[in-house]
Formats: sequence, structure tokens, C-alpha cells
Amino acid sequence: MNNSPQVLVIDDDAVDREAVRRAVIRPGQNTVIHMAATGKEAIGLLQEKKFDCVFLDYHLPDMDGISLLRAVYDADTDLPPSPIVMLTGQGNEAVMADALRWGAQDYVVKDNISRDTLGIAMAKAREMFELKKSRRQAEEQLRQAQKMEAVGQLTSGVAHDFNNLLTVILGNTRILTRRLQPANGELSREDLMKKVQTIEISAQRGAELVRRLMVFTRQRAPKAEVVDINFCVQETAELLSRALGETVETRMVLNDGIWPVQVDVGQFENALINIAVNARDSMPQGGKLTIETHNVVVDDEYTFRHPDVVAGPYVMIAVSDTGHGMPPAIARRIFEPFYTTKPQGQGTGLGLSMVYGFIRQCGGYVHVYSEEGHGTVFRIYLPKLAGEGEAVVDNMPDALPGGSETILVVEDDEEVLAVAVKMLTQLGYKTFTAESGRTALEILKSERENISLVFTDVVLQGGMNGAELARKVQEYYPGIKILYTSGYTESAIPDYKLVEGTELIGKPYRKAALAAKVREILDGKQGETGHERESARARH
Amino acid sequence: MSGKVRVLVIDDEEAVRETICENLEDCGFEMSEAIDGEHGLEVIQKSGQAPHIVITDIIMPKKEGLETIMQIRKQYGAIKLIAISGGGQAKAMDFLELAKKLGADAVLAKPLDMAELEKTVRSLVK
Repeated sequence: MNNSPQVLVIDDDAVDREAVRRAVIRPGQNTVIHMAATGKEAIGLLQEKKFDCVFLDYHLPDMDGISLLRAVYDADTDLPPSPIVMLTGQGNEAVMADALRWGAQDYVVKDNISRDTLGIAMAKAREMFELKKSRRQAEEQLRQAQKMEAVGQLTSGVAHDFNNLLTVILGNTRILTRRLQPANGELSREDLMKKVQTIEISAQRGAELVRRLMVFTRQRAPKAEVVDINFCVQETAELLSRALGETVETRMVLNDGIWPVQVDVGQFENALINIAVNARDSMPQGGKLTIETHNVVVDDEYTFRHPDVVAGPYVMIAVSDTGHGMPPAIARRIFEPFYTTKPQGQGTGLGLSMVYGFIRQCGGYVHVYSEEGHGTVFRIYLPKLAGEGEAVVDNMPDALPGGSETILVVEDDEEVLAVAVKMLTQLGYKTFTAESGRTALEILKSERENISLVFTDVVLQGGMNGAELARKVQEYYPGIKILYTSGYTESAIPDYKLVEGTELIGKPYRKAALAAKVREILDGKQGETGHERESARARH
Repeated sequence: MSGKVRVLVIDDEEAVRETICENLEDCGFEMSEAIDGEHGLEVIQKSGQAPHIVITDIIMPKKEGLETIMQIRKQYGAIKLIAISGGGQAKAMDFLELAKKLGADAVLAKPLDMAELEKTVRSLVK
């Protein structure tokens, strides 16, 4: 075992090499100095041996120092194979910045080579290298542990599925065995064939289930790839629909022409499964899980309640459940690490915080919308890959259709109410506001002549929901038009009886979409507008 | 017992349902099937002769097994009940225990051993 510090000096100038050697060796330490005069030679050494520190001159006969760094840089760990200190000329800041970018831990200006400077640089390089390496390893372990936790949550469903497949295999085998005894009579060739095929199909389904689990649990460095999100969702959903148990119905609404995005597929699947497992846990009596994909263009107005979001084109993946929902106090904290509402031992509280971390890393966002008793929607926004397809910019402010009518806005969330009023006011409309169905009816009593449209949230606190309000409006004030809004996606809206012929605009809505929808309803036009995906006719 | 023993199988997995039916048919029983508890009760009501035995899965989308067991127990005291479960759910054994308490005459865990199922059915119609 050799405990002597191993140092590699990469420099083609013998004088410089000697200067470094002298500065590095310490009395009492058997430092072993390795030398390389060319980049090619150095790359070979770096790849075959670990060094405690490498001093790399920028000027080499066959390449520059940055090219060498890039050649040995490992993108997965963001590190070179060994700690590296770059040696540069005076005042070459660009090179220094590049060196750090490509994995070097430190740099020293050649004029300043001394025992002290190199000693400090070497200590710093080694420490930073080790810190980063162990942090990467810890992150990787956490990711894997998290994934295994998610898989663990799925195993009960998978076991159930396997037991069914095995029942079929064993049951058919038994018939074949029985009928092999002459006393029980022979089976026809056709029956024989059918039984053997059933066994084969079941075994293949089992193998496919194992394959999916293995794909999901494979350990590999995260790597962002350009992917078709619909394909990823489909692959995962198949595992999910089997694993979530029979009481959860998994539905998919995958729109065509979804923009490509760049994500690590494994982590994306992990995120979906995490959200799905949470959804399942919120539906102990069973229910529906809906996964949707949409292209959306986020404009400045979307920043209502979401000031962290950058405007632009995104692919939105919405996961809705019909579970018990959660109060705002929990929804606000749901992405916090170690925050869990599950009994001790049943959740680490890390699942959704990892989802959050991963999606932010991709330059995306994840938001949760939930009302107690009405289910939950997670919306994942992944930025559209730059330069792919054409983003539809339809939010030219001066092109928006406005009006001067008066609109009664009914919304129990103060912030959302404020934003709606702001948008409508900017479009020229006058507004009344109410935070409950009751208040809305009172306002209607006195202002019925002035109000042209009631714009109401579907889910309202205070005993009367938006659908009930709308029915009363239709009954008492048939001339007044109705527009619903809801934080639930069109496919997952709570099962209220919405008034026939009325329309709904999904939250969060863009100003352009609201402007178009309001004008369309006030003008009495029916039917959907082509460019707003989250609006839909009310259904029964 | 005179005539064939009638057995109704309630399971939402088609392949499992068919396998059970084919096996017991092969052993001389008269089989009928239903895709969930609701359907099962319908089949019993509509058939002129109620089955002697009902084999029911426990976790099913529409009217799950425990509820079905309670209802059959209440409405058709003479029918013998066998509960089966694929487990997996954290408390699979508890489910089967519960099924017993609610009136199942026998419980079997999946993967089913058809020989054991046949034996169980025979012992219940003796």
C-alpha cells in the first residue's frame, strides 16, 4: 500500500516542471511526482491512475489546457478524474473561468508559483473535489432510495397482479395435468392449444410487468434527453394502472402534437409515480386518476399567484384525482422536504420535494391545486425545447377584444378574485365582486339591470357552489349570461350539474383566453374557441 | 346432493374468472360467472335456481367483495361463500379475516391452488 501523495505535473517546459516539483515536495512526505509533457500523454495517465492533485499548464504543445480538461471531464459528476489546478499566465481571466467551468478546482498564476500558493491550491483542490464527489454520491443515493420507496409503494399492487397471473397459469396447468390421466378423458387439440396459449400469455404479461419494474428501478446517472412526453406518460401509466390497484381507474387524455421537451426520463417517471401514489392515498375508497398532456403558452398574466414562473411555451402534464383534496395550509407546504401528512413510517415526506427539485432543474414548474373534498390537480410545466415548432403568441395586448359591460365575479379566493378583476378592468369591463353564492345573489337583486355576465368559480365555500348559483341566476335572471371557471382541468372537474349550454374556462386562464371567452359569451356565440384548450362546454 | 352443484364465480379479472370456471367445470360443477358484486347479485336474482356456492374476489371496482358477502349472507342464507383475494394490499390477510367474520364460509389466498379450491367447494356442499 502506497500512502505517498501522488502528484501529476503536466507541462512541456522543463524549468516550469521543476519549479512546480520544488514547490510541491515537502520534507517528511514522500510525494511522488509524475510528469507529462504533452496533453495526449497526460490524458492517458489521468485515465489510468488517480492522483491526489494535478497541476496543468495551459500551454501544451499538442493542445491547450481547456481542451485537455474537456477531454477528461465527466458530465455526470461534473468532475475530472482527479483534482486539477490550472496554471495560467497573468491576467487570463477567461481561461480561469473556463477552467473552473470544465471541472478544474482552482488556478494559480504561473508568476506566483511558490510553496505557499501551490500548497494552498492543492489542499483546496483536494477538498473541493472530495466534497463535490460525496455530494454527488449522496444525491444519487437519495434519488435511488426515493425511487425504491416509490416502487415499494407500488409493490402491493404488483403483487396482486402477479397472484392473478399465477392463478391463471397454475389453474390451466392443473387442467392439463388432470387430462393427461386417461381416466379423465382427453382434451381436443383445440382445447389443448387454448390452454397452452393462455399460460403463455399470462407468463408474458408477468414478464412485461417485471420488465417495466426493472426499467423503472434501473440505476443510472440522470441524463436529460429530448423526449415525447406522451410516450413517457403512456409507458408509466401502464405500470401505474396495474399497480395502483383495481379501485383506481387510470385515464389518459394525451393531446396530439405535444412539443418535445428535454428531461431525464427516469426522473420524470419517478415524478409521475410519486404524484400518482399520493393521489391513490387520497382515494382510499377508490376513484379516478386522470393524466393529461397539453401545450400551453404562459404569458405574463399567468404569473398571478405564480411569480416564480417565466413566460413562454411549456408542455403541461396534469395529474388529477377525485380524492379528498386538501386545505390550503397543506397544499402550500406539500413540496417542502420532510413534510408529510402520512402516519409515521408510511412516508418520508421526500417524494414530492424530490419531484419539485427535479422539475425546477429542468427549468419547469409544478403547481398543486386542491380544494378540500374535491380532489387535487398537480400541473407540471416543462419548457418546450427551444427552436422546436412554432410558439403561438396570441397575447398581443392591444389585439384583445374588450367591452364595457358589467360582470359579477364570484370567487372565494381573494388573490384569484383580484387578478380576475384586474384582467377584466384592463379589458374595459366594470365589475362587481362576491366571495360567495349568497353575496352574489344579493348583489344581483339590486344590480340586475346592470349586470350582463356572472363569472363564477365552480367550487365555492359557504354552502352554495357555482353550479347552484348558476341555476338560480338562470331561473330568476334569464337574461344574464354565465361563465364558469375552475382550477380543475376540464377532464377532472367535480361532478356538479352545470347549467346546460354554459361554458367553462380553466384556471389558471390567460388574459387573452378570458377576453375571447367573455366576448364570445356576451355576443351570444356558442361553441369552443379554437386556441384555448382549457375551456370547454359544460357537460352533463 | 342430487343434480349438479352450481357455483358462481365473481372476479373482475376475466382470465382468473375463466380459469376458475374451467377448472371446476372440469371437475363436474355447473358454473356461472359475474364481473363484480353488483353483476353477481343480478345473476343470482335472474337465475331460476340460486347457486349453491359463490366464490368472490374481495377487491373489485364495482361493489367490492366484502359488501357482496354481507348482502348475499343477508338475502340468501343457504348459499355457501368462498372469499378469494390476491393480497398485495397491505392488509390482504386482514381482508380475508374480515370476510370470514362477515360470513364467508371459507377464504383462500391467490395464487389459487385449484386442487384446494375444489376440495373446499366439495367440503362445503357435503
